[in-house]
Amino acid sequence: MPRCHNMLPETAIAFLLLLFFVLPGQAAGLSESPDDLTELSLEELMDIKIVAASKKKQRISQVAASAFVITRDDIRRYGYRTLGESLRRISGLYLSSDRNYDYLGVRGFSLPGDYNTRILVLVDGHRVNNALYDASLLEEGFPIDIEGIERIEVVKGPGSALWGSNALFAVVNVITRKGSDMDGGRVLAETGSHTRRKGFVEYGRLFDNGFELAGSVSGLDSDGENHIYFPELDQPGFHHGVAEGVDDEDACKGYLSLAYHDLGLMLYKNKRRKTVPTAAWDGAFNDSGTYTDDGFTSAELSYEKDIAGSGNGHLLARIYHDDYDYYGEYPFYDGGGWAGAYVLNKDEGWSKQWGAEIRYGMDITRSLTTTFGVEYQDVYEIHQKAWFASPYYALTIDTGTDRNAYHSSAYYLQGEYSLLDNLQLIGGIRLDDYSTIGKHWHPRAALVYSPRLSTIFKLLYGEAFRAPNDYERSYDDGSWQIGNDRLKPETITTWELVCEQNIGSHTRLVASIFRFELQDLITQVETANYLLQFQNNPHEVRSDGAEIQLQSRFDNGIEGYLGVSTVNSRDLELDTRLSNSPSLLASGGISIPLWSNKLYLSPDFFYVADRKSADTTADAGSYFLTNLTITSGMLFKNVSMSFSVYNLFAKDIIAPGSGEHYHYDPAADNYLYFNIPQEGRTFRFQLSCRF
Amino acid sequence: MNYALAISGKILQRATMLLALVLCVTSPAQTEQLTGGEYAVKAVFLLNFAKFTQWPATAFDSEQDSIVLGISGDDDFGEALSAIEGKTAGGRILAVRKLGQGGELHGCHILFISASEKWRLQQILAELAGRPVLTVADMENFAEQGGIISLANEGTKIKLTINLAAAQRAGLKISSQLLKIATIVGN
Repeated sequence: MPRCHNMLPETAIAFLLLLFFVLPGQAAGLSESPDDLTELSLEELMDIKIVAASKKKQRISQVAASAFVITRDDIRRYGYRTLGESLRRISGLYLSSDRNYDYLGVRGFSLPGDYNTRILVLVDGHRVNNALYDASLLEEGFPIDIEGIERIEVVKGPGSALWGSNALFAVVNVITRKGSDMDGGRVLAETGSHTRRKGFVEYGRLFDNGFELAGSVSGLDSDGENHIYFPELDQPGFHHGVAEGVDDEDACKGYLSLAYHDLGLMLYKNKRRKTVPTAAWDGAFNDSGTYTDDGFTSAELSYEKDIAGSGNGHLLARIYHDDYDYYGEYPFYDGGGWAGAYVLNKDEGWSKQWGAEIRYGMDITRSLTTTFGVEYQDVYEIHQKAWFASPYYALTIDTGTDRNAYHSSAYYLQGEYSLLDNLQLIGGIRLDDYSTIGKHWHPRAALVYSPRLSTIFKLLYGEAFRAPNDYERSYDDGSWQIGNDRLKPETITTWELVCEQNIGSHTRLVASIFRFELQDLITQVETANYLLQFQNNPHEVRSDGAEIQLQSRFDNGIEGYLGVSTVNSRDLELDTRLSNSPSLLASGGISIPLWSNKLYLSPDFFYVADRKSADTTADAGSYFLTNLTITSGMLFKNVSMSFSVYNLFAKDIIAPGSGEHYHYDPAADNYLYFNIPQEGRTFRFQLSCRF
Repeated sequence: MNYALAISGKILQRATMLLALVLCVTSPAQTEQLTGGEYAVKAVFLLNFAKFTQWPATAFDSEQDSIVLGISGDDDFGEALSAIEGKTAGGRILAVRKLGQGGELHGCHILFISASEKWRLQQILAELAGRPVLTVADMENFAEQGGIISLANEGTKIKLTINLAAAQRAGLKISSQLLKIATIVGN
């Protein structure tokens, strides 16, 4: 982990200094712990000074949407290793890996080669999607460690009326663990197949004077799969299609959050390196030199206050700064395939931005609640550069750092109006004004009806957009790819009918049918003179589907969930199904406590129907993936363990490749396109200890 | 690019150290003032409501039955409820049930209604009309709208408002010890 050593000691020292300076100050003047509060008299309770714990800024009304929550408990029980793995338990969501990054498909949409640009990912309400590629990473590139996540709130459907760009298919809000959640420290050590090693430390507390501290640091090192077989590349020149020992991954992450009364500070930084076994873009196959580095550095200062006596008034003001860094090395043979001289191609990029937002919500009358907000964002540096480093130096592209800088302002308003005791109308609209593409409006509306307490119907309509990112607009190397500054934003219109029903006292059912239309999809095409360019696709994409999600929690401790979804996603003009769009998805899991809650046995499964590949490769067949995790309850008061087997039955699973997954075969003078084999059977053991 | 990373790391480090120093200097002097997390304190209030309320005999099947506290809507309490679960109130054990949105309300003796259910508050209260259920919430004006006890935040303290008429309609008797520290409203 070469670069991690640069940031880890600095952050750790700063973190420890904070502990040593602040903790002794709080040691004197102790107050009652929550347990002792139960001994107080009524008068004493009335006299207590409340220190508000975690803020509710992330909790925007979820009534007007199809919302799902993944808890810390779910993550532990089913052994999810990454954010992406936890998200696919929600019906309609599926994960594909190209052995470099993981991509989340939502409602039949996951075009190979896309970078999760159509899903907005937030950490405590803070946007993660970087300005350079418009994407968030969902595997170990995600800046917050899975162990540091308290809860994940997923809203399927368009979210631009509140959040702006990228929220086309879903908004994923990752809520981190705060001091009051941690209430002490924890050390976790992990080992697994392919020499996987991970260490994680967290410490957090809510102190008596209202100061809340939470921090964590983690490091991961994995050799990856030693032997990956690509059947389409089974040629002697390509090592018979076997990539050996070129799948390793390193990641380190640091997180710190401080809160004092109404003020909050959040900092996080991560770095992740992955060796890429596919050697995309006809790189040197079976060569450990192809790798990518991704890193996020973010800081946010926020002020949040409940304004009592003004109708549940709530004010949020925040200011933030984000940095995203990317670096990659792509060695290749300049004769194509394995022929010619060995050339080292290097690629780097970064984006730096700062922004500020103010949001205010209040009850105007007993039946009307409104929220309005203003946001400003200044992306003051965007840089992309690619060059050959050896055997000779040649610059391919250098966009400088501020030539493509831009800024945007946004204004949004939402109202919730109770028409009747059990009927609510919600409407919202947001205006985004970009210095590059001008003004765009996105409205949404919802009608929520509750005929009886156990049933809720929701009729939803929403429009969302994605502004073209810098990579799509400006990556121009003059020889293979050109830019396009006339790109328009992608837009989506969604209609959905949802029914939420409680069945008995143990089961909740959410069923929905939806249609969405996607226009001006930005895709990479080959121009007349054989150059690659991003253009707005004139064809509309239409998707019709239905989803069901069932969740049960029984008194004997057994819990389970089941999700089934079907979708038909088509290019309207060509009347063909999209690539990597399975028509049927199913996922489910059950968690069984044994030995009076000392042990939990939690198998889960994922079924994905067959997916069309690009025209040049065979379709990827359907698969049925099973995992099993065994977790212990708390042993010896402080210790817990877990053991997981992923892909229990060692199925051969394939994800469709994208336009970059090809190699030139010099012997036969043709191009070999290939699909991506997914991970085989792997194990993981975790030992965690509180202190 | 390494330079950019190093700078970011340094900014992170310096920001944290600066904050540490600032907090040391501005830490208030230790007083005897008792403090507690918002929902930890509210949870203990719920336990006290169980202690200072009398349910009609018909509300329980037997003397061993627990007092059931239901949390309707989004769960803002989290871990705070484990501190009161299993404690005794008036000779009965307090049991906690997290109902989520639209969960089965019947069978609860105390119902805490989360702010997420605000939009159909009247529907919930209508469903419980005439039943011996102590309704509690931390929404503003809950008692004025027909709920029984409102646990609102007033600055950094808790303010109790009790709708006595609503309690009487539900067949519940609230002890004078609880009534005297609250503001009474009611129709």
